Amino acid sequence: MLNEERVILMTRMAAYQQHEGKENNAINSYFRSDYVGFQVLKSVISATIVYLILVAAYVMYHFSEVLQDVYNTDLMATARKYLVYYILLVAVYSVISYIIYSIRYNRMRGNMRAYYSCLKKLGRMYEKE
Amino acid sequence: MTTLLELREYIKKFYVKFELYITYAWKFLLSLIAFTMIGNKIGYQTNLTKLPILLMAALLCSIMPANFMVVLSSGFILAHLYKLSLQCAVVALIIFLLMFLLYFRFSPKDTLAVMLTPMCFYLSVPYVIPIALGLLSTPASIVSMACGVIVTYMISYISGNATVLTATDMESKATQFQTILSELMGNKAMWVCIASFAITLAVVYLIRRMSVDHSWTIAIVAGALTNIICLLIGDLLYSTQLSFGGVIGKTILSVIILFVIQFFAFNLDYSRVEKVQFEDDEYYYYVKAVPKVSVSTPAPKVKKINQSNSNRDYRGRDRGE
Repeated sequence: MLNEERVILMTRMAAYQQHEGKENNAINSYFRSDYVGFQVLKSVISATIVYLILVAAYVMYHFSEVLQDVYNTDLMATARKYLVYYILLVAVYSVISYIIYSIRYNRMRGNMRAYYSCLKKLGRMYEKE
Repeated sequence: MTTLLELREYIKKFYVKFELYITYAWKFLLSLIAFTMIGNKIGYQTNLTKLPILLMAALLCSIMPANFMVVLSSGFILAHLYKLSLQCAVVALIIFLLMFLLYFRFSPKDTLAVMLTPMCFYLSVPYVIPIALGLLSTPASIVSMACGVIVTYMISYISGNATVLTATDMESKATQFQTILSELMGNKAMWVCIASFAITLAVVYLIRRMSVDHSWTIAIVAGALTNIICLLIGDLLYSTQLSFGGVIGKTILSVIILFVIQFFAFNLDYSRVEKVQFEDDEYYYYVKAVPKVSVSTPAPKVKKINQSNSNRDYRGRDRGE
């Protein structure tokens, strides 16, 4: 016979699986440190691209001045300055993404725990029969 | 009022029933409107303003995820600007890349705000956006709204100065990149707009979350007032040439729209029809779970006109036979 309560529980679980479940499963296949680290690495890469774009835009914007000054500037000092900006940008962006993805991982763990408790409940229902 | 509530329930029921098709339809319509607007405003690439192409692109958007719409719109904008001048396209590309790389990695669900903001500006109800986002979303949407405002001002600047930007002499071409960027970033009206929208969104969000009666209505009114005050203060400080009457008129129009949004979105539960499949040892289950609709619509009344008909069965024969 069909157990109505069980069908309802299973339907809810299946609906969860269909929406957030897929994403959460993907996150769950990582350890916390691996997941957050991977996301931070992605952030570092995108921050690097952003920085390159910004530098390119700056050079294009001040094109004539850059051309004029290129021979009589202290290249090392300029490079150091730009490196500091780069590190600052990457650091800020990485910290932000670290916080965001840590929160997301924790939320996923909570959801997973709820899902597993539903699974246990379902298991008990089957045992009862 | 009850008829309105019933109407809402009918619409809700209708939506729940045909959710899949309605989703396709609104994506199609929204992207079609967006592409048409882009074509009207900066339609330099005349091939891309033809109706069959727009229809095809909109059809593609209707079956793809919502974010694809945003990507395709930016593609359209870039293509149009490239025809106008390379420098314009480069500026737009830089803005779009920064947007996608910096922010939309974190909240891909928020991207639609970037597209809706310019559309509302174009429809001259820009003040709907900060209040509606404050009601329906989180303060994180401030960033995507700001991106939308920047895109709006970029497009309107470029379409307003198209003749200058198409100049062919080398001198102006060389400085064009500088001109566009400095004009765009030095546009005080844009920054005032972004700041006041951000403040408005935050105020609306805070009030909406408070546990008082009519918090949504209060939030809408307070948001509209905040927005007017912020815009006027910005105008006084930076002389952005804002027309006072225009702001008031647009705000009133926006508030009316927002009350309509409130009517449909308040108490909005995101429960929807779920179609799931699973199995256990004995059965395969194909379940369709339909959410219950709260306010009941009146059952159709059956009025008997001819009493003698009730003695006849459904085939029209008399029961006595």
